[in-house]
Amino acid sequence: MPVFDVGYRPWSGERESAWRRVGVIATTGIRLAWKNQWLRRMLFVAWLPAIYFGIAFFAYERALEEGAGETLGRAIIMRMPEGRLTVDQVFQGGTAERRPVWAFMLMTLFRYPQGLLMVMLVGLIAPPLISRDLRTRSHLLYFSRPLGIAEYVLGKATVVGTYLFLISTLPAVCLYVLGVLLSPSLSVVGDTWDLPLRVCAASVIVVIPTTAIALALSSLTEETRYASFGWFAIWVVGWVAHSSLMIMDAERLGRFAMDIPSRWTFVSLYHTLGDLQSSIFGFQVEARRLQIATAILTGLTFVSLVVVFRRMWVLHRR
Amino acid sequence: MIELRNVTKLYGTVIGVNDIDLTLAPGAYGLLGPNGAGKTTFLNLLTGQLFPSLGEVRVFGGRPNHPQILEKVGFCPGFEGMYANVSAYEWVTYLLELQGYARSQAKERARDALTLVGLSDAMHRPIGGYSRGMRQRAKFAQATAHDPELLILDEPFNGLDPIGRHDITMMLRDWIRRGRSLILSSHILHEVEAITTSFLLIYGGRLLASGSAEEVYSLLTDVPSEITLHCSHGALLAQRLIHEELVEGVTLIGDLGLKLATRRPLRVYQRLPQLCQELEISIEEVHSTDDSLHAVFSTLLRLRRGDRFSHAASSRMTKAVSGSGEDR
Repeated sequence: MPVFDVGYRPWSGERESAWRRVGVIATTGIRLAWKNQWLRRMLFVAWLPAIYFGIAFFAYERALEEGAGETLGRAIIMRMPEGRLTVDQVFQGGTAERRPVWAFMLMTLFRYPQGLLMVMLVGLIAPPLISRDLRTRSHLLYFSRPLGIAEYVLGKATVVGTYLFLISTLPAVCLYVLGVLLSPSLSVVGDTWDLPLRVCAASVIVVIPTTAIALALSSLTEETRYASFGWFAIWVVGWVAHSSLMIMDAERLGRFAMDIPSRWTFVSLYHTLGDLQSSIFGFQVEARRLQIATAILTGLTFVSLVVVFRRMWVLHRR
Repeated sequence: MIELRNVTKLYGTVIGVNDIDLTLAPGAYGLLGPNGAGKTTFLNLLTGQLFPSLGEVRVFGGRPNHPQILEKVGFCPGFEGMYANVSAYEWVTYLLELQGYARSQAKERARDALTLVGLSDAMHRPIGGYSRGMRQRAKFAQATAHDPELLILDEPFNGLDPIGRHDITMMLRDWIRRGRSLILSSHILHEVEAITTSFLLIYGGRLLASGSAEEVYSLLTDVPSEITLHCSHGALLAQRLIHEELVEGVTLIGDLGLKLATRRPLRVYQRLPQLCQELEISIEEVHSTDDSLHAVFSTLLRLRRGDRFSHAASSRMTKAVSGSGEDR
């Protein structure tokens, strides 16, 4: 009877490309994050606003092409918080206003429901990404593999980027496709073909700085809750500061805060991102505000990446 | 296989390892030293986790953190380093994918490696529910699963039960038998001795000696063993032991304590009951403060300081101690 060797088996196969390791870190991070029940609930909720806006598209297109459904369309659009187009403009402008109306609705989806969900989602998945590795010291096991710091950080960033894509880009693109399918006329494609590209550009504008900031916070501490606190503090403090300054301005001018242009968007990350997104969707934003917003987001991204790389370098190569 | 050229590692003002100059050929080595001796720092320098403050480290002729070098090295760290909410199977698969294995191959090898360390039943359970020994086995599996040429193990027996120790010992012997290299750190001499006969002795960040088991034991034979006694009339007992030339030195600890230094501990233990009867003294406590590894280190440190407790021993050890800088 042959006796088989069941001991250690050597291996002589080919190894895969080093860049696949980025994908390995990303897919593992996505799988681990997916185990969080709250994340799954949030992703489900993230699609509900798209349905609401889908109905708005349908009502608008019916009103435009068939003269029906205007009441429903008005009811929905007048509840949208963005005040760049009045409801009368929307329904009286005819097909000439189609593109700005679509852009307006997509941007409203982006800025309000998805913006809020983005802050919550990143606050849920990003803080543990690096801090957990530091706490368990598993980053040392990572780096005992043929893995560089850049691949590690890129892999972790891809986790955040993927989930942001799932709650912002994908619903917006699907909403656009739904809008086209629900439109009685295919001429809508000719009027609005650039909007999916603008959706992607607006997503990139959101994903890069927010991911960099979230990873920087995560890399600064072994305690995930501190990173989470830091993340939410940035948004809440910015928002409150912006609102307070706007109210002070409004009181000084004797007008409502909503009626005056903001001079203080740079104190709030949310409003800074909003300026750039508005510009991407084709709405007029003061050039100086755009420059400031671009400079702030570029600076924050750069500083955050320096923090992450520096921190990993110090920990990894003490 | 490994070259360290005047390597010093500083943590601020604290020295991790101090001026180590060493070349190791492929083979199996036990890195021995008490807690805080610098073993982990030494191993982390070899895996590229740390950069030397001074000097140069080469592994397989290259920088230790070079990807091609890291593919050849398996590292089992002293710390946990695992996520609690994933299974050992997922974890080892993940680390194998980071080594460049395709997912299907990684899964297959992870299953094999975990079966080999005796975790076939528990491999799909979350690591958070594992005992310390099971975690140790999982760490061992991740270190060996990618078929490295050099295996670096930092205190691999910590937390393992006797069966686990035996299993890992057998696996490591098999590893060596297959011609693979191994560096194993421990502060327990007999654990290392069961696996390899080549030792590196490190203490206070310095490589005190490198040599074979025979060389270490030759040091021990010349090291007086220490025996501590709590008894009545300690001075009387000390006088008698000196008179019978059973001890090399005696230290009185208060009225009731004695610390004996002897090269013939067995003879002392045999003679003590008779002396108790003859001198009508009572002994409340006897224990040997001697620890074989501790004794070796004490000896090496004394030699390094220039103490000449034994001419024979010192002449034998000169060869070994010069190993702070010498090749084996």
